[in-house]
Amino acid sequence: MPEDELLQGLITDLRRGMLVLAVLASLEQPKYGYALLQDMQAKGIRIEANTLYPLLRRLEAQGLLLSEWDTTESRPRKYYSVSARGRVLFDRLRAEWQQITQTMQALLGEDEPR
Amino acid sequence: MNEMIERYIHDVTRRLPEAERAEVQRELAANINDMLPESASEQDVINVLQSLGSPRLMAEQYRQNRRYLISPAMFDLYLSVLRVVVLVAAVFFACLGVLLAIPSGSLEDVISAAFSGLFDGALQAAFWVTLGFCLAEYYGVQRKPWTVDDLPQIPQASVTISRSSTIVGMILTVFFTVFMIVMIVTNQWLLLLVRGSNVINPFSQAALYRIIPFLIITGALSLFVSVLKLYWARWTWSLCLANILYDIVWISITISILHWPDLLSPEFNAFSRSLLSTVLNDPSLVQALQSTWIINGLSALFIVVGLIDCATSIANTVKGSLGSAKSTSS
Repeated sequence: MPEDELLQGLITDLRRGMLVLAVLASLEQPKYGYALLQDMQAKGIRIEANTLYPLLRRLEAQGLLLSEWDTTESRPRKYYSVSARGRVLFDRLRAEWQQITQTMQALLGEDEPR
Repeated sequence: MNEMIERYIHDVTRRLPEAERAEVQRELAANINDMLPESASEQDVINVLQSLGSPRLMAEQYRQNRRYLISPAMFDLYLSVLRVVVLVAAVFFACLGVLLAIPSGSLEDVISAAFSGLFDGALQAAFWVTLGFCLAEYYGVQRKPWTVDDLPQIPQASVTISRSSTIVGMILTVFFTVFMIVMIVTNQWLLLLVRGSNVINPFSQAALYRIIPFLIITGALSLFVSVLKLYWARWTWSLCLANILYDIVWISITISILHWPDLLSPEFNAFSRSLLSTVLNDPSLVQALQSTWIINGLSALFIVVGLIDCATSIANTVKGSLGSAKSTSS
């Protein structure tokens, strides 16, 4: 496997873990799919539409998100918001993430880049 | 333009389960609309759809449930069951094919029957085993959680039963049984004594016909024990017991057949009497020899053979369990 492909794969693996956390963090207010996508991308999170939309659906199925169709406007839109359960899990995920970050800082800070 | 969007959404949702389609369709339509400017041109639509990527990959993301027929967890078990069943079925159908082809008399037919039997048997077995495992996967059959009790014993090399020798044994059993039955039924018999122009069949035809069911029983039992040997591949007490029972059965059958009064044909009896009379002068001795000594001698021989076989299987089984006892106590 050429270097680039391998690296891309490893980076994707690295990123995949934090996507759920990023989505939960970006949903402080209810948002619809595309708006959320643009928000996250503006904040520098690399995520594609065909990853985000199914992910939102999955998180809703798992009970972390709630959805509601807004049919008042000309275009019907599905708004996602974080559920109570999602909020609890988000706090714990965030704590976990911070601990991981601390550990990794220490680990990565030790070795000088070769 | 709208048509292209509809076709895209259709291409995604057709790959999803029925229950999900309506909702995903609605979602995607809304999302795609959001991604388009107010008065979108065809090029805008094309750009957006291209950016969404292949409908197949999108659907994959939506599905995120298992996309295999047999899960990784069950796969090893599947492979080992497949091996045994395909082997047994292939051998069995090959022999069956040969059995059915023998009456035709042509060697080509027999050989091609053997090969097609092998192939068909293997195919059938593979299909049914695979189907069984797929169904088990579909209906969520789980393996029970692993505990230390499930650890197998380390096999001792000396008591592992060679698969190839078992299969050869099976083939020989089937061929021998089938061959004998065919010979009897077609009124030919291997052992023929030719004395001058006299051709004597040593066994009486009536007795031979009665032997056939016993041949079948013994053959079937032997195959059964071979299947056990294939499946377990090492000497266990169950296998030992099965083997001993089989020995008891075939030896008792053989000894009782030996004692059939009409086993030997009248012509043979006359012939052997005359032969023995020229050697021994005492007619009563000849009579005794014919009726009891030979029969008892053969019976004793078979019993000895059987005892040796039983002793061998017991010895192998003991070796196997001793070996494993050693490893668990250390």
